[in-house]
Amino acid sequence: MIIHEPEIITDSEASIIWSKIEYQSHHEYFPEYLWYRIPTKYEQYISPQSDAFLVPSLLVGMHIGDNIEVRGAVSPRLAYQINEYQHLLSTRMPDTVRPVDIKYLQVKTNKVNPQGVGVVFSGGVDSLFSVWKHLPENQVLPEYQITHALFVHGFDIMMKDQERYEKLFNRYKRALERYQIELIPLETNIASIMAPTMYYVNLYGPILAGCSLVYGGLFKRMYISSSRDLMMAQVQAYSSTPLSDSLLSTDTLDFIHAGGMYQRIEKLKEISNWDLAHKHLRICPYPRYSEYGLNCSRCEKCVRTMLPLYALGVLDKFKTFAKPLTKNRESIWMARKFNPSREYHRELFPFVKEHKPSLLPWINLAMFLGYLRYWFLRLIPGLSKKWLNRFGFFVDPLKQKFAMDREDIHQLISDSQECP
Amino acid sequence: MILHTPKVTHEGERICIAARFELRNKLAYLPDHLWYRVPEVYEKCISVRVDTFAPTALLMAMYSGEPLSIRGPISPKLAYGLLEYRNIFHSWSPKLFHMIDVNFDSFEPVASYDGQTAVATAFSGGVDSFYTLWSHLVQNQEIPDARVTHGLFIHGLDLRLNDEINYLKAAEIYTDLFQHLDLELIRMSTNAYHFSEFRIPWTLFDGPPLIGAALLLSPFLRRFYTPSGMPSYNDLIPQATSPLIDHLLSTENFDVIHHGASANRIQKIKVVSNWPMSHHRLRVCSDKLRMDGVKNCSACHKCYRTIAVLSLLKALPNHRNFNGDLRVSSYVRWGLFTLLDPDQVRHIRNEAWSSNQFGMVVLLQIAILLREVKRTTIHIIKSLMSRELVYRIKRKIYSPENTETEEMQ
Repeated sequence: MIIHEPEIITDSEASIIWSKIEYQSHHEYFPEYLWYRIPTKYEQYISPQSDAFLVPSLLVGMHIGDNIEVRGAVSPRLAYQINEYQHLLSTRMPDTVRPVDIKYLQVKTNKVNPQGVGVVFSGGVDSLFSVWKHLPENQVLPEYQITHALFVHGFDIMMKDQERYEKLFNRYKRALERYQIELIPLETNIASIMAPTMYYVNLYGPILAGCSLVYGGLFKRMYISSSRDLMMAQVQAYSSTPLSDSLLSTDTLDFIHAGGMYQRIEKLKEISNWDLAHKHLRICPYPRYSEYGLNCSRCEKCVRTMLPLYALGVLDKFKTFAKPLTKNRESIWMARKFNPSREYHRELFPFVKEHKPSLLPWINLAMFLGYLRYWFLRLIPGLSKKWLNRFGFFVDPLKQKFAMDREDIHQLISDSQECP
Repeated sequence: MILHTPKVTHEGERICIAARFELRNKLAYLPDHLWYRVPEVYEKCISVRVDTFAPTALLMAMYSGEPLSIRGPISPKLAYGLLEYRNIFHSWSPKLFHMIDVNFDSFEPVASYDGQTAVATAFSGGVDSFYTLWSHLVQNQEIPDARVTHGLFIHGLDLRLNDEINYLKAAEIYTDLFQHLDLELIRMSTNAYHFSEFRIPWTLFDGPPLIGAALLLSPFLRRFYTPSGMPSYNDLIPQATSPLIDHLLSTENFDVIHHGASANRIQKIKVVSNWPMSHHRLRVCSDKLRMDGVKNCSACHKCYRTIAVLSLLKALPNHRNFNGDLRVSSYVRWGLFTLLDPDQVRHIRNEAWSSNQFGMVVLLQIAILLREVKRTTIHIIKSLMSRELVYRIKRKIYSPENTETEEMQ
């Protein structure tokens, strides 16, 4: 894999920094260009280094076994630590990735003096918790208080949902302004390099790191919110852990894995009395959007988030659930999309036992039914699943071409290369 | 507990920098001060900030269950890292390390110094140290910024303060080795072990004083490698030097990097045994009474496991500082009378299996079984005693290095 030196195209609205990627192994879905689109207002902060392209491409190179050549400049610190990063991931995920050789043509530091402290923000439990923990009232060190939040289009929001992204952006921008935090937009196709061949839900760390690195002139410190606590991270393998994230730091930008010592349920409890979370918590992965019903309330993630809030008696304060639980028996919805492989249910039992014991029998029943459903689906033969694809079942929307990419930007980049 | 600002005193050719640990409820035999001594030539390279002492003070405060107040300015980056450090130690061992509040007087980023160009590695002469040193030599490390320029050989950590003869003998040999490699070995000493002796397992305590020594020299060092003793990223056992926590003790202009967790011990010994500079200099022994400089006792668990691997690799003749191969009685002794680590021995057993050394496989398995019998017996006896009683019994059985007088409130 060759990662060419990044180039920048600028128009009246935005700047696009892009890099051509050449693969040794062919795959019809791999994008020819990786790009980040940044509003002109923030153009001054774009890092000209290849760091932002190397980090997300590395995982794909490790997955398909392509050695990497980086033509642009790479931070010496990143170049040193990336080998350890490769060893760490290949030890934890030997069936998914293996170390590859990386050849650098330029190893040098980006000569900038960034001052911003950022967090990659989605409006979910983890990112809200990170923001909460780094507000002035909870973080005594001014150097560690968050000044900016990065909201990425092309990470958990697909490219076609442009309107949804913009509405959410405006909503969060207003909400965070109250806390002197500036929300920064970013559009990118870097997830499209992973989505076709890898289960990128577990491998999102390099995507978030890449998005942060492209703003190398702005951020000196970046929090990557933990989605699993330390104990879960030891049992299951993920690309974003307290061990891995800091290894992607450069000479000018430190990555900090935030919240890794807290279970998801502890985070929920901590933000359960925060009005920003009441009005803006967004955890649902399903792309429906209405001004208040940010969360469908029926998917696995919604139910597992609602249950602890319901057990604490604060669910009615959270205004973003379309159909919040009102009775114990409604927790049976958990069975509908229950996924035991995510491991989150383990922390639910002691929590519910402590805060609302009357809910326990319903959760036990939901989990029993959920297990039956889960194993039934697991046992459906692959051929049958393929046949069911035509009716819209077992289809992974992320694997569709241009799910996380924009054809017009590819065209723009191609045109810019043809013009002298 | 209050950590006071450090004070510097000149002691002939050495400089002593010490900070007072003031506990509300004093613990028996616990020293009042943590100190480091460095040769006078490094006088301009030392930091008089509280940063050096804060990580060790944190663990002692957590052990005693008292909130920690840190006097004097501390690096904001270190302060942030210390809070996460505290959370991790507490989650590892909540009974040993209590969750405490940490109060900071003030914050002051560490300034960048013109002479801050050195890159050091902790060096004890063991397999991990040699592997980290080898990995950062000019011929093996393509990134110039990452190459090692100095080693820190600290008296008072694995080589205890009351074992000066062995320290001096080893220091002489390793100083020559570093000179030969065009590098410099810095000799230091500390009384950090006295704080953990018989109280906190050394492997859960050694990181902060080790990194503290490097923090002391941080006006001169910009990077410090801690050689990894981790078996693998898949077995992140709680240890005070770990890839999970070491970097948390970095400051604004000083990076701590845990190195070598990607290679297991057998892989490291393979690399090190092929490097002539390590021949006859590998020092792995944990028996301070029987070792002699870099000559290993060949009868402790660390010696046994190294000899077993060197024997598998047919590299023992290159290491005359071990007393030859293991005998049947060595395996029995290994299981019953030493601190055999079953995971590491299983790794060696698997390696022996792939090398068709079936006799060794059987003997290693016997050693593991004997260790399980011993461990269960000791566990039952210890569960019947209080923590303080265990401490006092250990003082009676073993000769304590810490000879402070008992002061109880």
